[in-house]
Amino acid sequence: MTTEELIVGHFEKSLTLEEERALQERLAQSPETRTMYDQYRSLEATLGNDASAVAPSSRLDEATVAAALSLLPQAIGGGLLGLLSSKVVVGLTVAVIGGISIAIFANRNSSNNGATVAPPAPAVRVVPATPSAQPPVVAPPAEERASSGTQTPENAQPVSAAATPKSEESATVKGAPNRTGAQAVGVKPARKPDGTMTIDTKNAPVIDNGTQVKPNK
Amino acid sequence: MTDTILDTSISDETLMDRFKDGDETAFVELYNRYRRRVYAYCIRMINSQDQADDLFQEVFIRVARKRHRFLAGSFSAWLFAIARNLCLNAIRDRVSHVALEDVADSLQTAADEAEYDQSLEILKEAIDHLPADLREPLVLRVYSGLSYQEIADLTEAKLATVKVRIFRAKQRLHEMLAPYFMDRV
Repeated sequence: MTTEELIVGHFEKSLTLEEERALQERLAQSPETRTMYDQYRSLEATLGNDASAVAPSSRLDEATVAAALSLLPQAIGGGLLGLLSSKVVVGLTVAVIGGISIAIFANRNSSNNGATVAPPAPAVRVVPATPSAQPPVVAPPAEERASSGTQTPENAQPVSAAATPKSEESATVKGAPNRTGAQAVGVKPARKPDGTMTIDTKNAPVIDNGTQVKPNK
Repeated sequence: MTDTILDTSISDETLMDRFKDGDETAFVELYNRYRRRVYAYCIRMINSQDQADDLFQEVFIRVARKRHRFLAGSFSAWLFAIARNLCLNAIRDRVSHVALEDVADSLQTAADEAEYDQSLEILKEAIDHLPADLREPLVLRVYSGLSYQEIADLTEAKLATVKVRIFRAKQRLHEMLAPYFMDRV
């Protein structure tokens, strides 16, 4: 084993007792070995300092937890409720428009000089989805969004394509449950004094979808 | 305010099961356990704060999105596999080949002008200039606290190879930083 291997092994705590003794002997005999040892000690100390100093910012913490938890269906069944609501709205719209169409068609036929006509065939029309068929979106106050450090899809910046494996889903979450309207009851991450995260289920920020939420910088 | 204090003896895997069942506090606990280690891995592998922030966030978004795909095994290994996949893809798109001698020269210049509190900046630069196959095991070992065996499993390398690579990484760092550290010893 070279001296350098012994020194690195010493700081990695991977030396046997015999190897440790060999290192001590070389340190006692050679000033060059001592210098190299001291340099490695400085390197290890700097690495340790750096490792203990690196941590995500509080804003990144909050944004990350909020974005991740926005992908969960709500306990009140927000996702299912939203799905049912949209289907009900679409169904009602079809029924109303279809009914109006039948009424108009029936009125035209009944104005034919009182002549008896065959009952109209049921009017079957393809009714395109209208904007009114979308579930209502209740946006939070602007100041709430700003203070929560979240972004709306309009200004959110998804992770760059370079950082996304091509074999996996896009970083932009497609079909992620929207936390809008009734689903806005969610969680709001917060920070404890010790730096760890906790969550607030009462005053939650609204995450419009599951895309990345950029912390304000 | 939900302030559930989870038993720290609860395993990561149990927390993951709870999270899959919809327990958000379990996710927060997992996040708290790994936020520093994952972030350190991302930022030292990428050396760009903006990109590391994006990758870090994407790691935990994927944990949430793919939570039902975690069936068995070590949560830590699964988590770092996600982080590694994202980081390596990001690195693959970077073209940065700098000769070691050039790096050493530039670091020497920086070291000549550096104060003690700049040592971390110099270290970050040196780590960034390590070849990826040396940088990764070093970062996983020093910054993420993984064992040799965990690094070997994650990187699909032999245990002996991991040890050699960590040694080589430190040796390279020593070569690059020796002029700087020379003044401090």
